[in-house]
Amino acid sequence: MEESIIKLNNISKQFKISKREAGMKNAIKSFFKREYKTINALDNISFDIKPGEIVGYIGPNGAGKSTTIKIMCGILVPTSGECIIDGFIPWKDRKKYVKNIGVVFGQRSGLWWDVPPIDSFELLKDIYNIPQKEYEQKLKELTESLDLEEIKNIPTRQLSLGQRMRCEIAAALLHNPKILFLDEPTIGLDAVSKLSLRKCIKTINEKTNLTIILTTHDMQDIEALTNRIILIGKGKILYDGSLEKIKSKYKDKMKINVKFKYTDKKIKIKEAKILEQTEESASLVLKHKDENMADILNELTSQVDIVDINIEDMSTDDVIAKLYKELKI
Amino acid sequence: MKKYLSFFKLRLNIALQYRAAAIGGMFTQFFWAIMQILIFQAFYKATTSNNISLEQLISYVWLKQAFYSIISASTDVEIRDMIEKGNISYELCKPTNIYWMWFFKTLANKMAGGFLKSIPILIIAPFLPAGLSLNAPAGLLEFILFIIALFLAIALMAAIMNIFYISLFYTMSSKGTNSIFYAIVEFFGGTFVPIALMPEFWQELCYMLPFSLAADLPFRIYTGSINLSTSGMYIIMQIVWLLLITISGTIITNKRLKKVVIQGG
Repeated sequence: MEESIIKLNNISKQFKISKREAGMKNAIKSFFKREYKTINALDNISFDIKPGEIVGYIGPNGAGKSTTIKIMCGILVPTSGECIIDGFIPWKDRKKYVKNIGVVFGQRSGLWWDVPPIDSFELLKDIYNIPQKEYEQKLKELTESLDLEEIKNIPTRQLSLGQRMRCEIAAALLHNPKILFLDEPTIGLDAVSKLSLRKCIKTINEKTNLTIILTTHDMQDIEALTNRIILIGKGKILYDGSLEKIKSKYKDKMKINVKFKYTDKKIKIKEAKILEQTEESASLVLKHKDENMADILNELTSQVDIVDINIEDMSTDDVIAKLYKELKI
Repeated sequence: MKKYLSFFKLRLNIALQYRAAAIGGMFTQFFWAIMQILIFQAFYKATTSNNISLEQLISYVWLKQAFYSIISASTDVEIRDMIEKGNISYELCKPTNIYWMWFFKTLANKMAGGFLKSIPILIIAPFLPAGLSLNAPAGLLEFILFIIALFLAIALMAAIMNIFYISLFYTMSSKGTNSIFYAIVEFFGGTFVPIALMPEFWQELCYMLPFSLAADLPFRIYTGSINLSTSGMYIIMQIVWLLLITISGTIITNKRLKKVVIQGG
């Protein structure tokens, strides 16, 4: 079995936050005496990630995603627990450790606003002490896979969000890290930019065996990039496994709509429940989530003359929303 | 070290990009200088100072305005934002020492913009009519000491400003502290009233503090209004303060970084 590159063991993080009731009186009161309460942002988080894996780290707002990422980047010190990434404890040996990771925070910018990305790249070259030859090689590689040729010489402030995000990723990968953290990389991007960004990420992962941890609210990011998701809610890990498995859990919610040539015969299928039937159409659902869809379709074709058929699958968004609701997070 | 140097290069690059800001700043400094000189001329008609002659004072005003953006305590928006808005998370993901990164960033900002702005004043001011013009340095030795003191002053000011940035880790907002900081540095640095014109005991107090050593001393050395041996002593004090502030600054920063919490997603 392959060694895991990222290992988190019972990581917990507590925050002290100040609170006050609404109103002027309380505002004055809190000016003199602050009240604090402690919240558990992370509660015994554990997981392992292997080299080359892409993992989607998902959860509703405030679940603790960013907190986990920050701990893994060495920015935050957890209250308790162990975390070993590529042989380092991130917050202990920050300066040495961060040479191995690349980070993109979708909502912040790591490039210098006033100058073209290429100037930022040059500076990063010196910050990370990248030898000139390696730098040129890597830059060439990234320019190709991220399609930067035309944008790397334009001042960052004049780039569109999608163009900027591609440059941000290049900036995070220049020093050839083993692990890339992507915190909501597609936030605010249009459909075309999202697609091209996903393609770039996928290509880079396949080419360089880069381990990628991705947080996002966009389930299509997950579907396009990874099969393993870690679901976190209220600071706890609720699910760690494949997306398919969750989806199949809700297979019995799939609705089959079928149109056929006129018939007054009643459809009868053992594995499915008929919701409604007219003389030219019917809709049915699976009785059990383990039923084989193909069998049902075969059965249908033998009973009626099908004109049109469509299966209303639950979208990943629906599945996740349902899951959040079920888990009460 | 190389990474800090290339940072410097990038800053100079940015400063050169904003020509309008550079020209605007230059004109402001020019008018300030003329205005102050006219006021001091009026003062000196009524009374004189033992510490500094009118001619020395006029040179002092010119130099101070020429190098204003180098020695002023106006803090860097980029660094402030970094802490207030959380962009520091990027900075922390890089293999650099935050304290020195900021130190060189401030230094680069000051020197890149500042020296650029000083050139026109230094070219024009010596050729203004007598009674308004910038005089030559008091002597060659004074000039050399002036250069040394000036560079130490810039470093000292950057170190002082770093203290302010570190304080943001505690206060989270620069709104109030920025004005307090500015007032303290500018007052004790002799920007409002030149230190040479302050009462005797104030002068002594001011020269004990690092602010005047950073914002006043080099120009007084240039004009020759303090003698050479005293100048040498003050330069040594500059070095002592510089070491004191940077060492304590790095210690506090490293301690504080362990507790940093970056809010928001």
